[in-house]
Amino acid sequence: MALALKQQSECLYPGYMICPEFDVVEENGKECIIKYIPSLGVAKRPFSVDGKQINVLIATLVGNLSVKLQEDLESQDAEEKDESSENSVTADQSDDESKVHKVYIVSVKDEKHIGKSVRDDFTNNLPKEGDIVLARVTRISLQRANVEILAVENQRTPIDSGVGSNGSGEVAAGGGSGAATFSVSQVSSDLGETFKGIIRSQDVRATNRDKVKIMDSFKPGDIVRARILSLGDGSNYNLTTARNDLGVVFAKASNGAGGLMYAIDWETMVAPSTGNMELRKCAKPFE
Amino acid sequence: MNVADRRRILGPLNAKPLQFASADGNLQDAHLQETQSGDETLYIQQGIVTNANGSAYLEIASPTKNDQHILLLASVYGPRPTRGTFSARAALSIQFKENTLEQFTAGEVKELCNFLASVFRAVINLNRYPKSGIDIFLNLIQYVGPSGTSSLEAIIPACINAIMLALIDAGIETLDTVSAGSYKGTVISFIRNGDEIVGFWADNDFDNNGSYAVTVDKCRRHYIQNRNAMLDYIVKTK
Amino acid sequence: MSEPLEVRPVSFPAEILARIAPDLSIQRHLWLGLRPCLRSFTEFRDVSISEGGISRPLRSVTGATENDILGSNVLKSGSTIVITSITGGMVEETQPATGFDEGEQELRQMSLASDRLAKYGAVYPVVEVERGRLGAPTDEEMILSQRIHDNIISSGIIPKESLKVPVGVRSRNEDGTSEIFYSGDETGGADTRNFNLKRQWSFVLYAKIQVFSRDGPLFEMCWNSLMYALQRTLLPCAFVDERTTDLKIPVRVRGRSATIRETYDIQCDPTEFKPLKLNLGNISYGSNFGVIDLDPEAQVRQTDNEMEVDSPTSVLIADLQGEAEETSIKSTLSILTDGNGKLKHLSFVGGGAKIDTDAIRKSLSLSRERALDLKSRKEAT
Repeated sequence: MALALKQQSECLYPGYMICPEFDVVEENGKECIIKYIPSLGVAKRPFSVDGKQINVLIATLVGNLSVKLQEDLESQDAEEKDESSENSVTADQSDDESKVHKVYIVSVKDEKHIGKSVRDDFTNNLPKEGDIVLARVTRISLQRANVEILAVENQRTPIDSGVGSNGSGEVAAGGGSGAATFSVSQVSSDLGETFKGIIRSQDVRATNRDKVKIMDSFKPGDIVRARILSLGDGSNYNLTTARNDLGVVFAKASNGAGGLMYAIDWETMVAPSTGNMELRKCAKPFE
Repeated sequence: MNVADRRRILGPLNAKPLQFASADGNLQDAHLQETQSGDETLYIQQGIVTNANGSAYLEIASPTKNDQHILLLASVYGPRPTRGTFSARAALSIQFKENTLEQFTAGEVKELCNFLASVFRAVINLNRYPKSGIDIFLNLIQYVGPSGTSSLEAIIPACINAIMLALIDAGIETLDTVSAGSYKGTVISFIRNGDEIVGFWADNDFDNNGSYAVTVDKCRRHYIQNRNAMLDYIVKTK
Repeated sequence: MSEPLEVRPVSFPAEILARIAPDLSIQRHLWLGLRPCLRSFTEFRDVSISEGGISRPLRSVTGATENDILGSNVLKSGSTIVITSITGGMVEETQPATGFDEGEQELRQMSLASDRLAKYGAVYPVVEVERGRLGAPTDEEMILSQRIHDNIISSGIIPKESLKVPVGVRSRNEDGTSEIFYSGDETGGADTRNFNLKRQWSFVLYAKIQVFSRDGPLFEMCWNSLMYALQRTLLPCAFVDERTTDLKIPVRVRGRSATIRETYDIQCDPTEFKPLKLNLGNISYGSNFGVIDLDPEAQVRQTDNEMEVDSPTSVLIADLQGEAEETSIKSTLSILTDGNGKLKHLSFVGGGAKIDTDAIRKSLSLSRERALDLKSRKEAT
């Protein structure tokens, strides 16, 4: 792809015009319509050329261009098209046969993050639906556990190699202004510094959902690996731990007074120094 | 100064501020001086505040304008969670503070913040950050206007540049590299290579003698200079 | 089951571990002989100071007329920046009501002699920590301000004597030019008749301390910055106009002419400055330490037979930095000392780890070295 090759090495800045939304190129004697979809660091803006309004993709971040062919969607589209073309032949379809559709996803990425195992900016890593997050339990009640989100494991972007997070953002508990106040532990949950979430009792595990006791699943202070169900309301995300690899990953014995505990099965943790066992909804400690 | 302020150590109540006798030298009106931007020197440093998400420090000195001197620090906090009702886009707030001397009144500062917020609301891609807030803090560490006077117009372009650089440092998506130019007390903020105006500030009755087109043109020239300087810096530090 | 099942434990990158379990992260670092900031246990951060070039006396040549900053300092330590600016005010000294009352004078002298603190002036500091928030000062800012204020007085750094305003008289010559005469001036000589002013003024010093990029405890940094700033502070000379010296204005209180007041329009000389005289021997510099217990469970053992026999159970950490250290280390020591072993302030807070005599001895000697180093930097500028 000419576009990608030309600009890969160039440093883009906000406002840089990358390409029009649609483009037509000749490929193997066929007309090929290319659609570019804006992703991270790219936005679509209307722009007028000779009095005609067209949509243009522009960069919104500083970084390098990365263009990816969206294969799944294209093949899906193609299948759908095939089906529809079999059913009914219209004037449009005859056009389609001579043209190839391609969809590219355009994004701008900062070189600083490429090759790093952790993305330390929370900024463009805000929790989204489906993301895996690491959260600390702040409060429990009979119906739900309240948590604050500490880090996002972003499994979608390959540069994160599975685990992406906010390493040092002030958004995290105890960082930035949270730490500036006198008592870190009290303030981090009160000042609105971290993104908050709720795990309802029916979202703790997948089976036997109405028998869940929050008390036997989480304790305040536990670090929980959870998945975002929805953006929730103004102040809370909705989270779930109903999966084998989700649940408590770090917990301290005796409500934080003892040492770290280790999971021995999916609902029990043990403190190696004392041998005491406590109930938790544990995450699978192995990959 | 609140008398009942018990959170700060204020010192004796009957203390009077020092009054300096004015040095012999007549003050000139800042507005009368032609804004000649050609000789400005600009120093930029990003990421200076580590507990903010992004920050930029600007030092602007223009020897031609009688030692006009601006030290400005912009820091961007957020996106951080907001409370209350769900909002699909980010809320933006801009605060301005003078660190050493207080030369501007509270009203002027508020006006400035509102103006800057309206500029950046048009530029930041707020839709990307649902249910969160972006807080921008400006610290004017030092400002010496032309001949020791102080005027808001002189610092607005610097404010816009500093915020833009801080946003870039924070990695917050912006639709364009916004900047501004000033001419005779009028400040115009542009995007898209000077084709679109996102902010217009005219203080002290807009100069009707010079035609509007001339003002816009001069501001645009200044804007392009400012923007190119920033882009130069961005590309070089990459 | 001929083939062994391969299981890999879930692991977190260092950055994430530091975020979700800071105490575990710091313990692992300590067992490796390092701190999360990669300094060794008793290594201090480098400090660079500059005058900042914002105070009025030092830049009066450039024509900044709206500036009343008398002294300033910019201190950088690691990523943290502390900007201190000292401004002044003037307060009229209370004088005995009428003439000289022998008995009252004597009483005052006696009480003053016994009250050591009354001999020394204060600085009124306001600490502001930039943290992306608005509103009232935080607990931390209030505590910092109060600690600095108390320490300035009890250290005896600023003698009250040096805060007295040197007052001169401005007289206008026939040709419209004005001249200012100070009592100590040899050049003036002729015009000393007006110098028996009955009133006295003292300077009040305010310090505005701004902190950017907070990254650990701040008291010592703010204190050091203030010390540097005070040593660079210049106080202006002041004068009253010749014709206002004897001006009396009757003030009416509820219709009755009650008192006659003299008003002095006291102004500061925009060019004449004198350095603030300090008790240099009392100037001290601060350093902080923390003590943390090593958690044997968190040890990363290389081999099993390498059993630690007499490994230390707690370590002394100098110059705390970063979120992990600040949240995990609750036993702290804060020491203000000059380079010669004179202690000005000590504060030990025990929380968790025990502060033993060894730790105290070690921290005292380290803080002395640190103070010497910081002192030499002041002389270098």
